[in-house]
Amino acid sequence: MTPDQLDWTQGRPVVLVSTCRSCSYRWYLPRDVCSFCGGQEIARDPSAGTGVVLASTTFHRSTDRRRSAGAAVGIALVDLDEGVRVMGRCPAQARPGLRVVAAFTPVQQGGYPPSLVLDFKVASP
Amino acid sequence: MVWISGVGLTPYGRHPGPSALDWQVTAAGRALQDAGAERRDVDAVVVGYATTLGHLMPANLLAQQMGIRPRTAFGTSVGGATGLAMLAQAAVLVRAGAAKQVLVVGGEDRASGQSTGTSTATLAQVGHPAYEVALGANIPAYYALLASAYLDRYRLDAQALAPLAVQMREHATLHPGAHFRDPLTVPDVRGSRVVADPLRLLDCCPVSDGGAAFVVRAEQASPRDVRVAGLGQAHLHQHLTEAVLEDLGARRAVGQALQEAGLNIGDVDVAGVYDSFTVTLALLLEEIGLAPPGGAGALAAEGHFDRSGRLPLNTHGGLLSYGHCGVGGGMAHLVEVVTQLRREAGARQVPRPLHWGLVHADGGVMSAHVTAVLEGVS
Repeated sequence: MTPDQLDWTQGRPVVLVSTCRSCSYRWYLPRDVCSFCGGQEIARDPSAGTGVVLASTTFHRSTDRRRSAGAAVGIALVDLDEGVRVMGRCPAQARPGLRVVAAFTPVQQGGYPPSLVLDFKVASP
Repeated sequence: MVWISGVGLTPYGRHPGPSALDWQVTAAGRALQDAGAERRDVDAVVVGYATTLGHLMPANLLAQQMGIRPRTAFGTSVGGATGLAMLAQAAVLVRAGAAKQVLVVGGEDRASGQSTGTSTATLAQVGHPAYEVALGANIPAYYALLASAYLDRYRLDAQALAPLAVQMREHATLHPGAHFRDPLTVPDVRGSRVVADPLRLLDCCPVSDGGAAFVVRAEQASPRDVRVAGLGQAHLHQHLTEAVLEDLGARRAVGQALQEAGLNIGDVDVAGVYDSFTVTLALLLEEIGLAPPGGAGALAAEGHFDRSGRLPLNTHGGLLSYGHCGVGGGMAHLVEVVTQLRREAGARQVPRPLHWGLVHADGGVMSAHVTAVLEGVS
C-alpha cells in the first residue's frame, strides 16, 4: 500500500473517503469493489474531516475489578460533509446535530506500539 | 410443506454447572420428546455456535453426544439471527427432499462459562476491528448509538423506550423459566445504572445460560404441528457504520415471509420480535409496521403488546427478561409463539383465537434479519 493510501488506522492522521471512478458512489470502510456498480477503480482521498453528529453515546470502560470504573469514552456516528458516515470518538457533551471536526489522538494499548484513534472535536463556530 | 413438530426450551438464567454441550443436549432432548420423534429418525442436525465452546464442528459434536448419525450436519453462525437462519436452512433441506426430520439446536453456558468482560469483548467483534472496535466501542455502545439517533429523530427523551422493558418483564413474571421475574416500573428502568448513554442496565438483555431446539419435518404428523407458512431474510450490512437506519433489513425480510404466506402484517395474531435492547425492539417493530415511527414505546405503555392487548408480543418475556443465552436467545421467541399457537401457554395463554404467528430475529448490529410466519392449525 502506498503511503497516501494509509489512514488513521495505520498511524497517518487522516480520514480517507473512497469514491468509485465509474459511478461516483462514496463510502468509508475500505473495499476494492464498488458495492453500488461493481466497479474496481476506486479513488481514496483525504476528507476535510468536518461533519455533523448523527448519534452519540458515552460509557465507562471496564476495569479488571469493576464494570463502569474506568475512563469515560464518547463514541459518535458522524456524517461527514463528503457524504459518508464514520464512527469516531467524541467529547462527552456531543449530541446529534453538533458540527464536529476530526482530530487524531495517540493511544497506548498494552505492549503494542502507540496508534491513533479518530477523535472528533467540537467545530468552532 | 414444512412443519415444526417439536420445540424444546430450558429455563434461562445463571445456572452454573452444565456446559454449552449439556444445554444443547437437554434442549434437543426436550424437542425430540415434544415431537414424539426417535433419535434414529433424525437425518439432519444443525447447531449454532457457542462462544464458550468455540468448537469447529458443533453439529457433529452434538450428534455424537446424542447418538445420532445424520446424513447432513453443519454448524451455523449468523449472530442473533442464527436460530431462525437454521430454521430457514432446515426448510430448504426439507423442501428439497434432502432431509425428512431436522434437529435444530442452540445452547450455551454464556453466563456461567465466562466472565462478563470476556462475553463483552467476544461479542464486540461484530464491529469492524480497525474502524469501530479500535475506538473502544462494544455492542452496548453500538446500540446506544442507534438509540441516540432514534430518540433525536423523533424528538423523544430516553424514557420513551422504557415501557418496552416494563412489558417484557410483565410477561416474564408468568414464566417459571425466565431469568428475571420481578415486576418493573418505568422509574426502575430509568433508575438502573447507565451502561452506554442513553441505555440503562434494564434497557439491555442479560447474559444467560440455557438452550433451545426445534424439530422440523416434511410432513404433518400431529394436530399440534405448526406450519412454516413463510420465510424471509435480508443481509444489507455487517457494521453499524454502513447501516442505512431507514432500511435496516427487517421490512424486507418480513415482507418476503408475509408474501410467501399470502398475508399482510395486520393478519398477524401473535409475535416474537428480537429484543436484545429496548431500542432493538422499537426499531424492529416500527420498520416491520407493528408500531408507527417513533411510537413503539408509547404503544407498549398503553398495553398494546400485552398478552391481553391488540398484538401480544414476546409473551415469555423476550430476551430482555426471559434471557439471552446466545443462539438460543432468538429461538425462545419461536418456541413461545409455537406454544401460543398450540394453546399450551397456560397462565400466559393469549385469551383470543390465534391463527398466524410472526417471529423475527436480527444478528450483529441490526445486520442480519430472518423472519418466519407460522400457522397454527389446531
